Amino acid sequence: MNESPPFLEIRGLVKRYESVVAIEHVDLSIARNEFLTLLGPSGSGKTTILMAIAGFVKPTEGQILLNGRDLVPLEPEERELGVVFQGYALFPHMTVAQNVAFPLELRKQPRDAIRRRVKEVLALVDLERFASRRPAQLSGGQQQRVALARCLAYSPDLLLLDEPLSALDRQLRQRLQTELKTLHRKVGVTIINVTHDQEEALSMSTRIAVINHGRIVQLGTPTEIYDHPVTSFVAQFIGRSNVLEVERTETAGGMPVAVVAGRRLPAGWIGAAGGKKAYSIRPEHIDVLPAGALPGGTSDDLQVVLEGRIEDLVYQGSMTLLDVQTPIGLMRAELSTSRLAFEPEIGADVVLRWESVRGRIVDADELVVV
Amino acid sequence: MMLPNNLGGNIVRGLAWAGVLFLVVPLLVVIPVSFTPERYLSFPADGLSLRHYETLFSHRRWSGGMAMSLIIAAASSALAVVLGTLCATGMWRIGGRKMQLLKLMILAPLIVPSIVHALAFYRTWIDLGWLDTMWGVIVAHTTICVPLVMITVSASLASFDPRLEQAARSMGARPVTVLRRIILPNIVPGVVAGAVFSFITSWDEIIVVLFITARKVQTLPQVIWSSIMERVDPAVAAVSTVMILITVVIVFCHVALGTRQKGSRQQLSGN
Repeated sequence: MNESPPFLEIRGLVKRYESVVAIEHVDLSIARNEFLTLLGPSGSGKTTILMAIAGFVKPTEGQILLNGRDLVPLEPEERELGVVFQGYALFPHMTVAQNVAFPLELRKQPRDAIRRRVKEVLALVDLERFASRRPAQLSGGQQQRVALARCLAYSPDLLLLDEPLSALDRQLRQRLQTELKTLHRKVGVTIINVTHDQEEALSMSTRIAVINHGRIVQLGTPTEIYDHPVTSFVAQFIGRSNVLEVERTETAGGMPVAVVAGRRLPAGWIGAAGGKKAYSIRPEHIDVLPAGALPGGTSDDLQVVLEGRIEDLVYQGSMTLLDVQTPIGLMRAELSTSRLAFEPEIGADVVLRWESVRGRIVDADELVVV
Repeated sequence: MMLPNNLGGNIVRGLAWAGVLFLVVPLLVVIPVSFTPERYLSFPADGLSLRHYETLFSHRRWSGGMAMSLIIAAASSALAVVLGTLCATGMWRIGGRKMQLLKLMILAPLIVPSIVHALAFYRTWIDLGWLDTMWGVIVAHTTICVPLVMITVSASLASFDPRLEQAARSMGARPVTVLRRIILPNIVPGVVAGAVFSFITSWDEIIVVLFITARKVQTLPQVIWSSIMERVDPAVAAVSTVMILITVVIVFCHVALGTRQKGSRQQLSGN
């Protein structure tokens, strides 16, 4: 990816409204055939970035280069992109087939070719039977697929998706995530997806750009982002994390160690040096044992052991969540219910234990409450 | 909401019906009068006659007035629909506080008393040399009708999802194509309502017409006006009946069309 020029390159993108800064400063390169997700909370500026690429938001500064050509001076209709809008924006006065044919008619394609292409694309999203229906007669998931088909019909090089699955229920969302992924592989189109749903981002993307306050906080593959969040915001926004304020950091035996409330917590990884740090550990990495189950077990370089008391317990079927009050703060642990070694109760004394290598020392940017 | 079936409820119900009668009965009085066999305004005492209806079609004065009114109403409502729709759509696209102000200015003809702007038309038409011309009346009526169209079209646009426009543009549609293929088909109800209101408004407009026409241009309301002033001719009752009938038919068609559209839409979303 580094050798060839990037397919899409965003350089120094800034968008200011009178007093509000929507995009602070964004640089981003996207390779052909990537599935990049802009992930961030609402108001983070992710949709503004997408709409700037689509041409509906005029950037205050910066360039957006597609195959080396700057898109910024072009009108939306001159950019040859595909956009799936939030709520799908299907034309209510046209049938499904007419919706899909619309972009082809604009391209003055012969009638036969249009009919063939419409059939082909509807087959791709498995909606051939609904060709003569109106959008209002379709379910949310079907409408979403029509919107996709309408974009795929004219084979744009770049497909922009604005929260394409947010209006659907959970099960349907998961099915469509898989479908989108398959479609991406089959059609070989470059996709930029905007979402606030971290699960969707993790499961579909080749890379994720985590956006907050109009900036890219972290850019990387889903595994990189999940395993090595660089800031406490990323640690808490993607997946859940216990984030603890760090007094100071030190090194012991080649391992970074965070000092939290007087306790030494060794970690498996530390981000860039300098600045305020936070210690982050994922709930699923914390083991909860009944008090006294670890006789003589104490924290060492390999494991962290903490005594505590169960404050709250949430049973979720396959998972059980425990909130445990410890000397260094309230910690959440997430255990597979079937592997719980004991019957936890609110008020019971327990011992928390996790492997030191699971701990992360990250930049403390902001603590979100999830 | 149902009114309660007690004394209070009955009083309110009675008042409501009295209101309806008060509005409708004076209109209906002209219907029997129009069938009188006499040569003066009266209720038909012995027998009914269609002679006054015959007058409407045989006398050049009446038939000419009707034709003139039809042409003027058709032309000015057509012009008003085109201008009003384009204007409302353009202002909707631009948006913002400036457009709000502009809208207020364009709606002024509805707010300013007719007599005031009849005077204004009169003054201006003298300079333009448009007095007593059909063109002059059409322009004046178009000016009056544009705000009506703007109101109905704006109402339709308010429920139009701007993302449809963005979607069309992202697919490569130029603004004119978007207007023709995406926006217009979705605001048809507003456009039709605007056309109906415009037609009716122009059809029975008299104040402005009295100011800016004399002999050559005689619209139907003007013929009615002058024949009432000269002598009380029962043909006025006949023409009033015809006008009521035409108005009722237009409004009825509009309402029927509207409910059918709404009905089919509900059927769709119910699926």
